[in-house]
Amino acid sequence: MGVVFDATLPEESYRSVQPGALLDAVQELHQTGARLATVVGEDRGHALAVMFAFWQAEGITALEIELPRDEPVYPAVTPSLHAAQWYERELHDLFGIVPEGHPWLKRLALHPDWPAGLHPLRDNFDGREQPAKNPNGRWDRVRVEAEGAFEIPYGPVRSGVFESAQFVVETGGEDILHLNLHMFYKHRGIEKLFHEAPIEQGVSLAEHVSGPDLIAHSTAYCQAVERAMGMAVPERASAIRSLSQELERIYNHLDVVVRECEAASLIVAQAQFAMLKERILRLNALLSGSRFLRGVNCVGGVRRDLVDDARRALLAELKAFEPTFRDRRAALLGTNSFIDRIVATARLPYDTAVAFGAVGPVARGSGVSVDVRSDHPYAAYPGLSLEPITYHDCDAMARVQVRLDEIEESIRLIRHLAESLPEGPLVAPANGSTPAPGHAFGWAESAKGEVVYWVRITPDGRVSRCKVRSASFANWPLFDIASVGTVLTDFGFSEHSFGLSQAACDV
Amino acid sequence: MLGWIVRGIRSGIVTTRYPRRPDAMPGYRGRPVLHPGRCRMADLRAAAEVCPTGAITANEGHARLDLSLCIQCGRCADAVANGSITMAPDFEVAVRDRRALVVDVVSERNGDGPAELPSSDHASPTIEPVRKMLGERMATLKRSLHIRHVDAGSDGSEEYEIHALTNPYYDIHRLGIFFTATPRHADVLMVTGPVTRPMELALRATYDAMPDPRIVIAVGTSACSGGIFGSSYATLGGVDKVLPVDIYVPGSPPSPFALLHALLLATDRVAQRLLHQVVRVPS
Amino acid sequence: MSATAVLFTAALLLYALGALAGWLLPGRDAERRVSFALAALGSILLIPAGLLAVGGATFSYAVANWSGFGLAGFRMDQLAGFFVFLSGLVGTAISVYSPAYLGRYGQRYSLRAMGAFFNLLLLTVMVILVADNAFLFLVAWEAMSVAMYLLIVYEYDRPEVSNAAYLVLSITKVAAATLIAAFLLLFATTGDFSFATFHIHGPQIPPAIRSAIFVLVLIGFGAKVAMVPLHVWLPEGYPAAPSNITAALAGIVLNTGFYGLYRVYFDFLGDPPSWWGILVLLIGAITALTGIVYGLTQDDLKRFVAYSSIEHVGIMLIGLGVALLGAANHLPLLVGAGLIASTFHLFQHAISKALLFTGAGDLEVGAGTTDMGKLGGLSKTMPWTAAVFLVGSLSLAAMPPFGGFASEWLTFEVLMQGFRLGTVSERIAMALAGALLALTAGLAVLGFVKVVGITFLGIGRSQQADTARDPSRSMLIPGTFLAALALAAGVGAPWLVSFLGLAVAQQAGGNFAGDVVVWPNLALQPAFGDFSSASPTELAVALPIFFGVAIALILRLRARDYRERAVPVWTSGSLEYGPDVTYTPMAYSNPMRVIFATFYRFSRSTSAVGNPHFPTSLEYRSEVVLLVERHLYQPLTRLVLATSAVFRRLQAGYLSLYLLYLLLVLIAILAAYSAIVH
Repeated sequence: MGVVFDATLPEESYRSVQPGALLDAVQELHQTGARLATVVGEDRGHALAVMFAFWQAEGITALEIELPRDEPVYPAVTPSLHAAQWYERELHDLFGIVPEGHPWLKRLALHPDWPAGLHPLRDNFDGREQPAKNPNGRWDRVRVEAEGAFEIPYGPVRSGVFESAQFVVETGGEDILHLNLHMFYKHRGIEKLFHEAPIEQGVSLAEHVSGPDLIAHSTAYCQAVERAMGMAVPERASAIRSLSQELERIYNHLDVVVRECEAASLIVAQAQFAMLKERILRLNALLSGSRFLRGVNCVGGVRRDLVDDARRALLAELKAFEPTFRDRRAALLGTNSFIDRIVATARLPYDTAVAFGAVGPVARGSGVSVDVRSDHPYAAYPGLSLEPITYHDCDAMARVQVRLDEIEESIRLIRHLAESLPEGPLVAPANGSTPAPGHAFGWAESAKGEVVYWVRITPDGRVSRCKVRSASFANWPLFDIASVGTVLTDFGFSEHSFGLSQAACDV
Repeated sequence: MLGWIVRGIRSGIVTTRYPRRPDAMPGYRGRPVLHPGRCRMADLRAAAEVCPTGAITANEGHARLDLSLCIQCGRCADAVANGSITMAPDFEVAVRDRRALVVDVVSERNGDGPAELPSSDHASPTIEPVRKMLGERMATLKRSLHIRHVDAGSDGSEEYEIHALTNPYYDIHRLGIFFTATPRHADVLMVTGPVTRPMELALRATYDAMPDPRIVIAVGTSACSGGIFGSSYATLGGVDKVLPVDIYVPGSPPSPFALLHALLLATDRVAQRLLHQVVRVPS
Repeated sequence: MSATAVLFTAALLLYALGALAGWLLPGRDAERRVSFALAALGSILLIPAGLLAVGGATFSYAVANWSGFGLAGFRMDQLAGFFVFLSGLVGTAISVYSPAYLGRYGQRYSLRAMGAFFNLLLLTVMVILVADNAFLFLVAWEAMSVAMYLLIVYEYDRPEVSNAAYLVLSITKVAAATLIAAFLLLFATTGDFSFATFHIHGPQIPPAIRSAIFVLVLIGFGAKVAMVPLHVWLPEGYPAAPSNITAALAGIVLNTGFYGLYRVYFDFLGDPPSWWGILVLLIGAITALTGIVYGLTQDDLKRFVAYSSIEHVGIMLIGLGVALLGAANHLPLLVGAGLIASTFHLFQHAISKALLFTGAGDLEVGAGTTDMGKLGGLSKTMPWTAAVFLVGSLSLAAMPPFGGFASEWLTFEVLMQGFRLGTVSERIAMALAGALLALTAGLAVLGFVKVVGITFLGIGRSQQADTARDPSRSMLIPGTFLAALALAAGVGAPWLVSFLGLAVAQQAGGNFAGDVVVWPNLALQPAFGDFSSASPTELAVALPIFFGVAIALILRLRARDYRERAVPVWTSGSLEYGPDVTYTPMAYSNPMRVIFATFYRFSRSTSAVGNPHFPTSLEYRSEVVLLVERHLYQPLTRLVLATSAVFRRLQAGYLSLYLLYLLLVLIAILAAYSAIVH
């Protein structure tokens, strides 16, 4: 046992506990108002380790336990901290770690056809191995015992251009009694690909976790690596990072509105908001060469500069964009046939959102004020004094309104950052011939919520472990709870009001 | 409702004229292009060092640029100082066979005759018969296509671009192309992602449920070759490991214009631009 | 005696013989076949008898002369002839059907009794139809009720069956009481029990008493046809009886109620005031709607078909109501049209309903159950039954070119003639009835799509469904015969309407078939020439031609190398397809329950099993309340039971006390008699 880490960085602290004392330590932290940030599993060779990371006022506090390889069992945290439910199931599938007492320890990250006993994130598993499928694997689900109730398996190939996931709806005919979520159809094993990858390759990997959130993911990754290696990112690079993040936020939020209009068959409104989104994507291509801002981030700073011509074009576009957006937004909020569909739909009560660890607009639409740009500012956010935008109605309407307001705020932020862009280099100078080994957390607020990374760097500049926790992973479990009590025709509205990504969740 | 109609009319027409006239996409990092006049084998070796997916590989006498693995990061262009590799804003990158995405680079030996290419034919495999076969299959569908999309593990950005095809800028409906929810009505299967293990059977089921004639389009670098994911415990390494692919569209993600090019190429309404090349450069 | 009389009397004798056959012959199979063969033979004879009577060859002869009750005899006029003809058609089919169907009971219950009571039922129905004396009528009515009860309670050891039969009997008793009161009133005001006397003197009865008779008769015969709010016995009684009996009840016995209504209202009571028509119209519309709305919530096929009967009874009552309003407004065309619509609907309902119940019987024999939640995919395993059932469903859902379409169309058209009526309230009633009927028609389609879709299409939901087989030919051929009749009723609508016009000529005051049928186009119209017309006959020709042309075009234009490839059902790539993911009957009609939640008092609740945040399973309960039962019958039952509890105190159990009661009552009657007489 003993303390494994050699250095602690500001805003991060690690505390080793015995597995038996874990629950009490978690309870203690929870009493102080700490919020679960992520749960990291790691194969350390001599043992398997689990770190429970919590947000506190001053940063992240991680409780860490080590478990013997041949019997990695510990008392499950989920019964007292519901937000941990999927993390513990993921550890069970990918590492073989057993959280004893978990109320629903079924397959999550690996589908039932994956043979038992093989755990991909253990070091002794070769990532290129493709084990045969187990034909007897079946999903366990929550069934409704009733005469007349039946199930509708919706997905993984869904009716429209959507990402793949399966929703098994338990229904009495029109109402949704329960929703079984079968995610991880898009599990690509990215965390295994990080293992032994050069750190610059890691940026491309992080960008491919979720294309529409690639700035947030690459920022979180780069920040984790930079903190682990003690690099200081130049101001100009931080500003460009934040500016890019806000552009990304705008087009993601517009996409949510487009999808909601599509669900309501409001064709013209859909087209209008799709046009606004297309303008932002073309603006992104103009500024960075990629419609999704790929290739902007690199370890130590950014690779693409915002030159004056581009800056002027950006400000001009925003000047034209803003009044159009305001007008369409007002029109949308005045379209009763649309508002009717999302008001009082998919309610997620405040207490549930807190208990299950909601983040992002999903949490903010239920009155939970969480936003890492203001709680734990990073990049260029520290000087900007942002307040999280919250609504208290807890329904789909609230979540859409949070996003509409955030678009306005993002326009304001981009304008401010572009007008006051600091001069200076784009990349931090290399510090010494060999990078220092280390480990750290990195985070960013994507459009969907906070993204948290944890990396460990080896002495020769490779990643030995990278844990990716996207906002979607934290929020998907709440979709089931919010859907209960809605009807089948509300499904599209609920889903798009959550606005989550399957790719980001499945990693 | 009237308010929306008025707004729609007042927005004017923003639809692209493609395929009659392509739009300019200033700044867009489309695909890496070699400039044989300025390029040396050493440049290619430098580029191969930084390429995250192995789209550029190089050894002493031979280098290869395989667009089906390119994720458009632009590191290759940044790694060479003399502009021998640049990123061109080219989006007509759809091809009927994967070999057309490859540029083989052979090092010139002073005075020697042409060097042998390692393990591949000199001539491109017969494009014409492939084109004719596809054309015949698609003869009845030239003016009306229905697309079924399957996400087999993409990162989500390809879906954004495919969905963008229905927005007023691209408007595929004017070309007679529509999306359908049921594979029974579909002519085209657009697949994104490297095909994850759980999606393999679902993808096959979708393909089986489509009536003939049907074509498969692999959308995105991951779908063409597995991309940065390759073949692993979770991914199969590209759609052609599971289904016969008729059209490959590389890009990460391919822009909606590239998708339009791919769809029109499938029905033989536009020409394929890329062909397999063999280029000689000094070492 | 005329040919008609000979045929009819022979039929009665055959029925009587059939009733006794069980005791005259040894051997189980023999008695099953012989009694039903005799019933079939008798029914066959009734067909020409009825036809001849409608054609004009009526007969009448005396049967008994009772002091006090007068002369009693059999008199078959055109109206009776129509009902006899119809009963003959349906009776033949059911008699041929029954022996094979009853094989499913094995030795459990007495086949001798079934054969006997079946013949008795048919016999008593025939007597009701031709009785020309009120007392004879009532005796036959009671006998029919007894036979009905004995047949419904055939599976006597099942508690739900005996309870259902008891309910049927109770309501029948109440109805009989009102009928007795009505006929006694007629006797009191006309001085005789004879129907001929009622016909002559009936119209001169003082209006108040005529209205009283109207109401009493409505209750009495209305209960027989399961009119709201006296309908509660039918959804219990029909499913409880064996399916061949249910077919007889729906196809033969139900019609006697309408016979009674037509006879009393149009032969005995003369010109009606308009409120009679309005009342019948509205009750009919409400009955129709109630029937289908509750029918949609049923999971059992037989219960749904039973509720559908209530719906169609409502439609027949609507036709009757229109005729009454026509009479009140002195519009003979409307009377004729209304009566023709009502009898047309009665005819096709009898045929199609008997068809559906024999279909239900086929399901019981072939698949072992009529619970739709356990069936599915039967069109592949029981194709003949499926085809026959489909025809019946199409006809009852009013789809062209079947009889149901023609009759329901005609009913709608006569309803639209409201603008010809005199008062505002009449017009409103017609409009209201039209609106409710339109809603009913739409819901009926929903109901039948549900029944046919869930039972016959898709995949089997249980072992029973997967191993189902078509029953024997002797069960399917009668069904096919009835299906052909249902189609013929539509395609041959002009000829059928001519027949009906003759049948109701006396009641309508003339033969209006010539006004309803447009002979050059083979079309129907609602008696008034300037309104609208439709031709099921032409549809029966045009629709197949259109389909044929379309199919020929498709075959012509498709690609030459057309290969078929069979792939599994598409379930969004989930690779799961089994009974669990198919619609259940309750789920299919769930949207209905939600929309009409107030009407149904629909409530549902879900509770989690296990940790509420991480349940292992969920329990779901939903409830639909039957309004009439809850708010009318339950309080009434409680009242009756409470009152009986009070009177129980009179039953002390001593014989001497009961003798004392008898003596006291006798003294009271004598005293009253002497007081009245002097």
